[in-house]
Amino acid sequence: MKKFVSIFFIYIFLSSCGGGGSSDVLPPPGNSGNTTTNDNFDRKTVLASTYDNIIVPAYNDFNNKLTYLKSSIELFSNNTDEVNLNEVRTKWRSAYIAWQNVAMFDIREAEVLSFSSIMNVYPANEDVINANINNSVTQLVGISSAELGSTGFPALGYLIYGLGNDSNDVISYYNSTNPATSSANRIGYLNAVINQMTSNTDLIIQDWSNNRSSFVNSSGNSASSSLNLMVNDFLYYLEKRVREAKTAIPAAVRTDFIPLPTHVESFYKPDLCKKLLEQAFLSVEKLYYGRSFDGIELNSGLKSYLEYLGNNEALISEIDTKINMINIEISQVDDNFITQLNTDPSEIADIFYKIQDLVPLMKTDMLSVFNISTDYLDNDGD
Amino acid sequence: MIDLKKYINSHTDSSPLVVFRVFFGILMFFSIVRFWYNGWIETIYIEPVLHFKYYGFEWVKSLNKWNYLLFALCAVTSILITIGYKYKISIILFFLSFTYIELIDKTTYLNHYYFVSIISFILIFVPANCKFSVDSFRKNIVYEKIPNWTIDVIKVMLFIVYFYAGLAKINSDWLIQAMPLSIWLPGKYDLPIIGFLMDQKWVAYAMSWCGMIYDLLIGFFLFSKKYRNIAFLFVVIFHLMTAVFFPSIGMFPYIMITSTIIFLNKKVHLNIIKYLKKIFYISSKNKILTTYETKNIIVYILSVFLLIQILFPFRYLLYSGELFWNEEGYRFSWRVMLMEKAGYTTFTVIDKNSDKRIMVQNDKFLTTFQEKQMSFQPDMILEYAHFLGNFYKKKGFTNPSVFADSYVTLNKRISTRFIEKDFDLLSTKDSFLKKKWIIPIKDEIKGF
Repeated sequence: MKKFVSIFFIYIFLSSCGGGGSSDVLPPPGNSGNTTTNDNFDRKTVLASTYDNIIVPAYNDFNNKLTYLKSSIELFSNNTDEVNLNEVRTKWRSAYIAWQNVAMFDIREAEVLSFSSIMNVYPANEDVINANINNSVTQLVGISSAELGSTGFPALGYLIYGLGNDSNDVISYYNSTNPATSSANRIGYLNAVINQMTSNTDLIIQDWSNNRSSFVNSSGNSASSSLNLMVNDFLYYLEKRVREAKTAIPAAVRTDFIPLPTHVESFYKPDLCKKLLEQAFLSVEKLYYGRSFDGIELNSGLKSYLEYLGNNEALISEIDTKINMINIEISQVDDNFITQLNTDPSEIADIFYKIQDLVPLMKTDMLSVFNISTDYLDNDGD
Repeated sequence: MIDLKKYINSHTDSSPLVVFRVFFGILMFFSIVRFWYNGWIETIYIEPVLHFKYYGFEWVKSLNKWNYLLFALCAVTSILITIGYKYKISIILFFLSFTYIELIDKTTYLNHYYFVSIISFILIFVPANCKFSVDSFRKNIVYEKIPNWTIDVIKVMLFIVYFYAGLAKINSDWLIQAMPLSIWLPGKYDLPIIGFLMDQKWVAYAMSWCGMIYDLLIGFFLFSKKYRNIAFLFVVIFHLMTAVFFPSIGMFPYIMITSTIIFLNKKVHLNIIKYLKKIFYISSKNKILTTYETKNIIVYILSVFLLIQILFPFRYLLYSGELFWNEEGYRFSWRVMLMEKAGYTTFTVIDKNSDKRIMVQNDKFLTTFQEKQMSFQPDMILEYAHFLGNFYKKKGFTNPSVFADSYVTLNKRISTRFIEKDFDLLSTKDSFLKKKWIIPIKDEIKGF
């Protein structure tokens, strides 16, 4: 009896020290789902697969495209002609699409650097951008709330499309000698924006490549474990960045349904809007279904975790249905959201409503089943 | 009936009550400090734009920056209670300040805070500073013997807590579906050594049934002379296990463990006092030893109080419908860690006089914690709806109506609509009457 009691107390002590963080047992390789011997296996599989098959390739792809964008800006900086401007525009489009694949992972270094706020806050804040240009800002470090919208893709959009009605106008702005410094300032700011984007991306890629094992092994269930952070971020992304920013706000769904075309994601190149939304929702699906960056079905995502926990068939089926409906709605809108908002904004509102149908299943049912813990306060359960 | 008069005037050694006071005070002190240290005073009581009120206690407001003073008062009085200095005033102030804090926001309701309020209330009426206290030191009087009922009242209260927690577990979700443990345990896969067991359904069943049996029986064993020591060991094991399995449960296990010490034999308590005297270099000087006499009026007060405590958890019977779903009578009934319930509730405010409308973003008004708690508790949904009505009235919605789009999941049932979507929540006020605008659950949970 005494022996049992002392063993028990030692165990309690050890368990409390663990703090629910990382687990030291490495799983044996094998297929996912049906093993019941060592269950750490499945959670780590989700993390490992997400890391290897989604995060790393997505960031590499994004980094490449961002690098091309930077080179094209350098070329344009040396020679502000139409050919070079078009190159910048093409590379901007391609990098902006690639951004949608990494935007969701706003954790770790990305969170520390306020990466999302730097890269993609829209609408662009033209006043701050113009002020920065007048003040010959050549370097951007960090971001404050007053500066939101003066950096990243929206700012570039303004700088390569928004400065004039067509490319000739834009180029003449860059070439204008009235006032004398404005041309140099504009080029300077253009470079400041892209440099901030690339330097932050570098830091984040570094953090990801150096920390695979700490990310994957943090498969525990505490508020700071990778799994919890990732799932919470996934939901935040779906709600705020996809649903609110891309659909609810432009269609003014929450207020009076009087559309706000100024608030679409790619205001200066509005025919890109649909593509950006599609890509963003695709990345949501990839994480949920566990598809690789190239779209290969690996079934190693959140859905596989639901399957593993068992008795979730109804929920899984409902989620599938809702996702399908969202995709159907998205396919029905015009590429150009400004045109869509002017002709029939209810089509964009419909996308909002379909995403609204999906959110409770994930935020309430799925989180409940995953038993993801939070740390706002003590909780003796309801 | 046993000779009631004889019982009320019977006496026993005062040590158990005194030890109870010391441990209670210390634990309360740690609780307050921990709360402070975690920054929760700021995030729970100062930052929020609104607070959810208890019925009849709408006048209890957050004191904003002055909340710190309130907590300081609570902390200081808990120390005074521990050392037994100006005990009567201290325990009353502690009870008032602690309860006031809890009444500020319904969001934070926890059964163990309710328990602390109850115990500190009871402690006002018993002579817990009769010995081993600064008060008795200064008065030079030590009460070696106190009435049995002063200790028994606390034991009965503890018995009620355990027993009712056990009764609450006699329901089909808990026993037949092993819910919610079969949701919560798999989340503990990262426990050392036994982590792999946590996914097994049989473990969820075993722990559900054992938990129910433990809660129902432990009170009896604690009262029995023969088995109380073993029972106490079980209490310690049980609560430490809950601390490991559910770290979010906070101070509750430790408060229950130290409170349950009161059941042990007087020898244990005498030794505890002796030990504490030794390590804190407290010496006894010559004192007058005497016996504390019963005051009948106190007995009446505490009897009525216990009667209320026995009846109050059953008020849910006055409402039709499923208790877990509608939550009419759910709080203050020792339903601890009993269900996994979560919701998603958003609101639309529509002006009946114009075509103004707004679909509210909850994070403009509520903290994440408040939104989470509100989303599945109907009284909070109603209160928030009224808040929104008032808020938007000031924004030009001359005749607002508020509608909730609400989905709730209970013990893994797929989420279904919770509130009638076309019901204007402003057309009703919170009361003790049945809330007919909750859509009934399409399932049955048998039992308590």
